Order: sequence, then C-alpha cells, then structure tokens
Amino acid sequence: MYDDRRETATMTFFKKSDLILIVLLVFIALGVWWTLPWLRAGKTPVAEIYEGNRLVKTVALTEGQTEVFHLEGIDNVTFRLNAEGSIQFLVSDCPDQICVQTGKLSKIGETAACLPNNLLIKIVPRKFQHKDDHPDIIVH
Amino acid sequence: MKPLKPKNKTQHLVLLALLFAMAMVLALVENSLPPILPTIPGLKFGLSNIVVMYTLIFLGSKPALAIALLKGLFALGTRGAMAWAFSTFGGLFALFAMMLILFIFKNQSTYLSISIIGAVFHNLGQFLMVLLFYGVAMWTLLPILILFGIAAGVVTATSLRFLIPAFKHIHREDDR
Repeated sequence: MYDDRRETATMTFFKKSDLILIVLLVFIALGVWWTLPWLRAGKTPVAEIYEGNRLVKTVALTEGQTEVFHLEGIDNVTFRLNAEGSIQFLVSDCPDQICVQTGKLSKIGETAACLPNNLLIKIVPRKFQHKDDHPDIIVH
Repeated sequence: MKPLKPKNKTQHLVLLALLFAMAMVLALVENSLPPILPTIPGLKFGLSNIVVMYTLIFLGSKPALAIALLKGLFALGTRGAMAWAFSTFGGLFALFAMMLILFIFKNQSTYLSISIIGAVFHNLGQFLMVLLFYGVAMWTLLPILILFGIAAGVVTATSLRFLIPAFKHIHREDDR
C-alpha cells in the first residue's frame, strides 16, 4: 500500500476541494434518509397475540385499517387495530386495567400484557413472524 | 513538516510505543466522557484516530496498522470482546479508506479530507458489524452515522492540526 511518506508529510490542512467531499457525503446521508420509507415499504410490523404460550392470532399493522375484534372464545377482552398502524387492548374486564393503560403499540419490540386474562400482544418484524406454533415466550 | 525516519529498530519501537500510549490515553479520556447523543450510546469522536492519522501520514501504513490493531486489543482488555470486534473492524475499515485516499491523491489530499473519510468509514465499518452480529440493518442510523462522521472528522483533523507543533521536537530529533 501507500508508503511514500515524503509526499504525504507535505499535505495541507484544508483545500476548497474538501468541500466537495463534505457536500457529497451530506448528499449521500440525505439520500439514504429519503429512501428509508421506501426501503421500509411493505415491511409493516406484525402484532402477535398470545393466550398463555399459544400464539392465537397475528395481525399485520397495516396503516389505514381500523378494526375492533375479539378472540374466539374470549369475549371479555376487546382489541382495536388503529388506522395509524397500531394495536391496543381496548376493553378488558380485569381489575387492574394495566393492559388497557399500556395504550397503543406500534413499534417492533413493544408488548402489552393482560395477566388476569393470560393475554399478551407482541409487536414483531414481519420476517420474524412465527410460521409454526413454537412459543418463544412462556407466560405462566 | 518532514516525515519521520527512525534510524534504527529501537527508535522505531519507542516511537510506536509512545504513539500507542497516546492513543490509549485518548481512548480512555473519551470513554470517560458522557455520551454525545444519549440515544446512540456508541457515538464518539474517535479521538484516538488522531494518532492513527499522524502515524499514517508521518510514519507510513504499516505502523498505522499496528496502532489500529493494538487499539483493538486495548478495547478488548478494557471493554471486552464485543468492543474489540467493533474497534478493530471499524479501525481497519477507516485505515484502509484513508490509505486508499492517500494512494490516489498523494500529497494533494488534505488532513481534513483524510480525517473525514477515516471517521465516516470507521462508522460504516461498525454499521456493518452491527449488521453481522445482530442481523438487523438499522438504516435509520446510517445517515446519522455519516453526518456525525463528517463532524468527527473535522474535530480530529483540527485537533491534529493544533497538535502538530507539539510533535515537532520528535521530528527535529530526527534531523540530527
């Protein structure tokens, strides 16, 4: 590699052409920033709803979609899918109401749990979505 | 300023040891500072890159490589294996980018451009490392890392510019 020190030791600190480099890098950064939503398109996160350690339902958090739903056989808890791409416990009959107070979940990694009803919502990226029923979390 | 030409192996060794000591101190000082952006804990100016740059410009690429690798080992000793991987990978990425710039532009390149390229590529190297280890591309981080790399490059180049007078006596010794 480069080893002619006699030349490099005579470098100057700054030249006007350095500005080109800086502007170029700023544009690359902005370019990446602008293409981010495009890169993410079609990669909406997915909400997984567990009863105990059993995955009961998965819902894609598609924007612009509103839906209020129950799980089959569990009528005492109501979920709502919101238009901005989030999900929440809307109504629950549990005494502490922690699940309802947790509010809307939209970011990957967020969770809300209703322990009295043994229910859990987990937001995961689409590609990590469970194809089979193996639990990766166990709620007792 | 003249390039450094150590007369013998001992002088070379002592010089490298001194430079490595400086790099260690700079890394230690920087690690003890509070994070610049609390949201991104690893974001640093990379002050020890000043030493790597100086070594690369005045001593050549092999000693610079040695300093970069030793820096990684220092991270291993003080902050663990993960830090070693990140430091070494980022450091080598930065060094090779700087060497490439020097190779293409020779003495037409400037301290500032080399420093910025070094800092940006250091960040890119670590970004790739995150990709390798965690399998997630944190794309949101990439523009921030590039922009911050520019800032870090300006900081290290300016520091080196002001430190060079302090290095002068080493060079004078060299003339005798």
